[in-house]
Formats: sequence, C-alpha cells, structure tokens
Amino acid sequence: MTGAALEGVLFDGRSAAGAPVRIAIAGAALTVSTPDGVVLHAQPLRTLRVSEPFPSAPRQVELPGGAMVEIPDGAALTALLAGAGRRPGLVDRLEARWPAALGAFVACLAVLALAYVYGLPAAARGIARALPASAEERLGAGVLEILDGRLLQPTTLSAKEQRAAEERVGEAARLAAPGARFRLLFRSAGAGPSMNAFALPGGTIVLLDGIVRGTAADDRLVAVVGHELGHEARRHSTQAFLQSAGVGALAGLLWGDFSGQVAAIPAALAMFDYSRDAEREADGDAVRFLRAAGRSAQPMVDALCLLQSVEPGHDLGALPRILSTHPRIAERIARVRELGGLADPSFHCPDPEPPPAAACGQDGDDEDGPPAERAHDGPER
Amino acid sequence: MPEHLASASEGLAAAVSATPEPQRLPVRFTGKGGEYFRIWIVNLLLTILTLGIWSAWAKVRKTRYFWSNTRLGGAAFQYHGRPGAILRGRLLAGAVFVVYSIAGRLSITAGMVAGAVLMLLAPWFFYKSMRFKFANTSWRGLRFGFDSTAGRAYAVLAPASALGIVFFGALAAMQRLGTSGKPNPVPFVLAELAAFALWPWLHARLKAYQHGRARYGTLAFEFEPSTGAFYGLYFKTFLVALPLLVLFALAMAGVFAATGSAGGDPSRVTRAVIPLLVVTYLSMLVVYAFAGAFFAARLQRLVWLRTRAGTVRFTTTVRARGFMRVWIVNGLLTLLTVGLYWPWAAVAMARYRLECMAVETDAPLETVSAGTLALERSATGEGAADFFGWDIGL
Repeated sequence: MTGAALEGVLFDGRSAAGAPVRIAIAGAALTVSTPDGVVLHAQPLRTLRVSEPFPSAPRQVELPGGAMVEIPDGAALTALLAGAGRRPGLVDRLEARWPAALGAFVACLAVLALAYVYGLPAAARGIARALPASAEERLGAGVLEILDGRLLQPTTLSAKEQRAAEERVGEAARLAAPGARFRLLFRSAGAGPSMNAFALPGGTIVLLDGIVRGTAADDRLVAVVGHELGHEARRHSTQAFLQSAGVGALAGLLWGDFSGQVAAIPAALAMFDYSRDAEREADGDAVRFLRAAGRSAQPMVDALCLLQSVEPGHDLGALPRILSTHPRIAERIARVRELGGLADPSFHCPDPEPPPAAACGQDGDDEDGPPAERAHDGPER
Repeated sequence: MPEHLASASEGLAAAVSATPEPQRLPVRFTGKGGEYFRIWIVNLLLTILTLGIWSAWAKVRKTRYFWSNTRLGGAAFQYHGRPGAILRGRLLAGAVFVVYSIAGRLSITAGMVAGAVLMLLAPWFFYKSMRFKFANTSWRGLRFGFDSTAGRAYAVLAPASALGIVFFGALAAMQRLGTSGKPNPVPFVLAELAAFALWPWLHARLKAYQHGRARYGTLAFEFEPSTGAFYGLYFKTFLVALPLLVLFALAMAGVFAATGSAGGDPSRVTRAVIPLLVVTYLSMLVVYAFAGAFFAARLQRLVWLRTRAGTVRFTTTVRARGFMRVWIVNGLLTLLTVGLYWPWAAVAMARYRLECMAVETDAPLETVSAGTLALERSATGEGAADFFGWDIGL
C-alpha cells in the first residue's frame, strides 16, 4: 500500500487558498508532496492527528503551524492508514460497523431494562429512607392534592360513621403502635372502585368509603389500617412515588419534555401499585399490629376475603390497576393464616354477602344523595 | 462515492484556477441515515454507561459528523469544539438550572428572582455560545468568528431581557394578589400583549446581531435591517394558521356535541377526554406541519437573502412544501419506529435545509485570509444553550 498516493488539498491556515497535493506513506511517516513530487511535509504516523473516518466525508490531516490537508476520499485515507498499521480508535471502529451498532442497540435496551428492574427500586428505596420526615409530608400533601383534584371526591360517610371508624382504629393503635404518627382521611372514589385504602408519604392513610362501609368499621378495618401502617413504616409509598417519578424523568429524557403535572399523575397512581414483596411485608405488619392490639389474625383474613369478593371482574374504571398488582389474594390469605397460627387447610372465604338492594350502584352515580340514606352494612359492590 | 469525488475535484479545480468570474457554489450534504444511526446508538450507549459524562464527547462527534459531511465548493466544514470545554459548560449550566429549580420550589418569590437573574444572564450565555460555535467552525482551514463583546450582546438583547423580567414580575404580581383574594391577571395580560407585539422586533434584532457580527477569516458578514419583514413573516404565518385554528375549534365543538359533555355531567366529561386529547394533538400536528413549515421556510429565506459577506451572497430555494414533506415523513416514521428512525430523520432534515442553499460570489473566496479574533475556549454559553434548549442555531 505504501506506493499508493491520494489526492488532497493543502490549506495553510492563513488564507482560504488551497494547493493540490499528494498524500503517501513512506516508511513510518505520511508525506505531503506537490503534484511534481516535491515533499512539503513528512509527519510521523505515531503522532499524526487525523479527523474521524466518517464513511462518506472527507478527512483532514493536521500539519504543524495550523496547516491542514483535506483528502476528499476519506475512505481511501482510512484504507491507506490501515495498510500502514494505524487503525482507527475504538469508538471509530464501533461506529463503522453494523454488528457493533446493533450490539450497542441491544446493550442500550439491556442497560435500561436492568436499571429499571434493579437500579430504580434500589435508588428509590435508598432515597426514600434518607428523606427527612418533613419532605415526606410535603410529598404526601402534593400527592393528595393531585388525587383530590383528579380522582377522589369528598366522602359520603356520615360524621357518625367517620367517628366510629376513627375510634376503632385509634383504640387499636394506642395499644399496638403507641408511637406511630398517622392521620386517617375519608374520601369517596367517585366513579372508581372504592373497596380500598392507601398510605400516602408522610403518615396519611386514606380510607375510601367502600372499605369503611364494607368492614362496618369493625376489626377488619383495624387490620386494613395495620397493613397500611406497615407500608408507612417501611416508606413503601415514598419509594413507589420516587420509582414512578424516576420513570417519568427517564421517559422525559428519552422522548422529550414532560410537564411536571403530567409526570406527577402516574407517580401519584403508583401509591396503588406496590410490589408483591411490599404487600407481603405489610401483611405481616398487619398481623403483628392486630396481635399487639390484643386481637387474632382473623380480621386480616376476613379483610382479604372481602377484597377477594370484590376483585374478580370488577370494572376498574378511573383508578387503573388499583387491585390487580397485589399478589394473588388467595396466596396472601394463606400466608396470613400461617403467620397468625390459623392454619386450616379446609378454610374458604365465606360467600360474599349479597349486594344491598338499594339504588346506590357501584358506578358512583347519584353520589349526591343524602349520606345518611347511603349508610348500610354490606360491602359495597 | 464517485459522485462526491467528482464534485470534490470540481471544487478543487475551481479553488485552484482562481477565476475572477462570478461563481455559484451549491452546498452539498453527504451524510447518510445509516451512518448516523451507528454513531448515534454507539454514543447513546456510551453516554448511558458513563452516566451522561460521554454526552459532551457524543455532541462533538455528532456535530463533527454533520459538519464534515457538509461541503461548499468541494471543501468540507470542520467542527473543532473540545469535549472537555463542553462538559465543563454543561456542568456549570446544570448547576445554574438546579439552583433555579430549587429556588422555584422554595417560594414563588425566590423562583421569580431566580428567573429574573437567569434573564440577566441570558445575553451573556448567548454571546458566549455564539463565540464558541463560530470560532470552532472552519472551512478551507480558516475559522469563522463572532466579532462582538459582552457589552454589545447586552445592548442588543436588553429589550428582550427587560421584557422577560417584566413578564416574571407580572407573574409574581398576579400570584401575590392571588393569595389576598382574587387573582389580578391585568399585569400578566399586559406583559403577554407586550411580548406578542414586540416579538418580531426582538427576533429581527437577534438575527441581525447573529448574522451581522459573523466573520469568516477577515471577511465580515452584514445583515440588512429587516424589522418590517419579520412583522410581515409573523403576520403571514398567523394568516396561514388562522383557518387551521378555526377548524380546530370546530372539531373541538364537534367532539363536545357528539359526547354531550357540555352539560357538565362529570362522567360524560371523562368520556370526552380521550377524543378531545386526540383532536387536540392531531390539530397541533397539522398546525405545526403547515404553519410551522411555512414559518421555517420563510424565515430561512428572509434571513439568508438579507445576509452578505463582502461580495458573497447567499441564495436558498427552500420551500414550505419541502419542509412539510420532510417533517411529515420524519414524524410518521419516528413514531412508527418508537424513535429509532430519529437519526435518519435528522439527516433528512439537514440534507433538505443545507442542499437548498448556495453561495454566490464575485471574487474568489480563496483570497480571504485568516482573521485575528481570539479563539473561544469556554463553552459555558454553549452548555447553557444546550441545557435550556434554546434554539439559537443558524
């Protein structure tokens, strides 16, 4: 290859005028000579500075004193240099090859998937634990604002129903978790299913009307609150929010800008979307809570049976996936029974109580009826 | 390959013969989507693996790819920006951005103050960014330059900065009154109207500054004053968008009527949300494709036909229709491939914009000699421009 010469144009860096030159490799140097064969420069290959080998672009060779030779056929220069043993850099070689590019594509997907599956939860857990309580409370207030503005509506429970629920839960909490700081809020789910409760960052537990009515504010409600207090103590809701906000930020990075509000909605909905492990941990906390409050684990089993009775085929409506990502409820029931020493292989949830005959349907229509008329004992379905 | 070699040797011959006759040099772009895809994906992976640090190197490589494939009279452009400088610029701009967002979260007043400070810094960022961009671009071994001072940048951009501060002030005033009772939108509306009325003038000033202070070696660029033309451009774009906006309003009314959600029944409003979103996004895309393409094409013509450099003139055959075609094809394919078509789209856009351009000159360009402007080594302004997404490119 050393015999081949390439055409180029020499620019001296002092004016835009160019002079035609020939480029060749002689020994360990690249020579620049006039068309007549007068050698103008000899650059050692070792210290040669050449622009990237982009396939369709010219390449430029830097010369001392700000001069430069532009070689229109960049690919020929690449071949010439390779023949003399000077290979392009690693990134240049990766960029030049389709297999490397496809490998990079697969690697990008793999890294993103790994970051999503392992990195994100670990980071969210770490941040959730390091976050001061005041920041958690602000976060919880922000999430509540979003939920109140978009999904939740004021409770339809009467003051009496609310007081009964607060008293029952408060009495158990004084016994089981005297130091726990939390407050209960009552909300209606509007058009969505209302057999649920959730914990917001910073110690706020939201009880939807359906779960208060469905449990008749008995010990099943105590079990539900014990479960949510477990989520609180383990900062699951903060973690879920951060995890979801992290995905939002990542999506914004990849596909353009996300406005804060839009990114915050999925993050707020993440409150309903804990991992199976998180649910299992909170179930264990609920059993311990019940025991510390002088009860058996049975109310937790009953509460889960209640959940199971509303789960299949329920129209999820405005609160997407509100229940669907919980571990299979039957599995959870079995585990709670085991934890609570209630092992009995023949156990089955009792058949769900028949839905009330009253006109108050599941779709949240007619929510504006007088609350007193809506009070009933059966689970709302 | 042979095609570009032919054009290269033609350019080479033209350069050497030094004919005094007028020349017309078309701009050629030889970038290819596949090549750029490989560069893009490899650099994306490296950026992810280095937690973003490689992004400065990636930016340099990508910019060098586009400039190296852009040829005028057979010779390619070269980009000389140093990744280290760009990384430092990005880190500094990132710090400014973090301070700004934290201030916004602390209190509205702190956010407004930070916004006003940012407005005061913007001319300096812009000036540094222009210096970095021009000084790090060369053609035929000679650097471009941006012959200005920070003082001149402040003088030119003072009205824009003042308007920005008034805007933030009006926002603050509205917020403050909002806490005591009814929000008072009057100052905000006035600021908004002022922004609308002054925008074309500010845009004209900015372009005149950008194009009027550019240098190629010792060759100084000039820009013909054109405030009236900018007002005309904005007004015509408004006229183009008007029928589309009327259609948009009719479509919205249609959706409301079809879903019967005007009654205020909450469940029906929920049902109308999806069709409304679809109609909104489709209309935005249509307005963007038509009015946006019209604006982009006319702006390119307006600006380049008024730019001179000695006896050098610029011509462009860019058409709104051409922009529209590129945008629509790019948009559809990028959507269908979940973003993977992006590198091809970027190459197609660059090809259209660049290959529409040509340079006409009476005197041969090789008589131009190197300028005496100092090289700009700091990329702070460039980093800020990247960070805040200001589109201040040519």
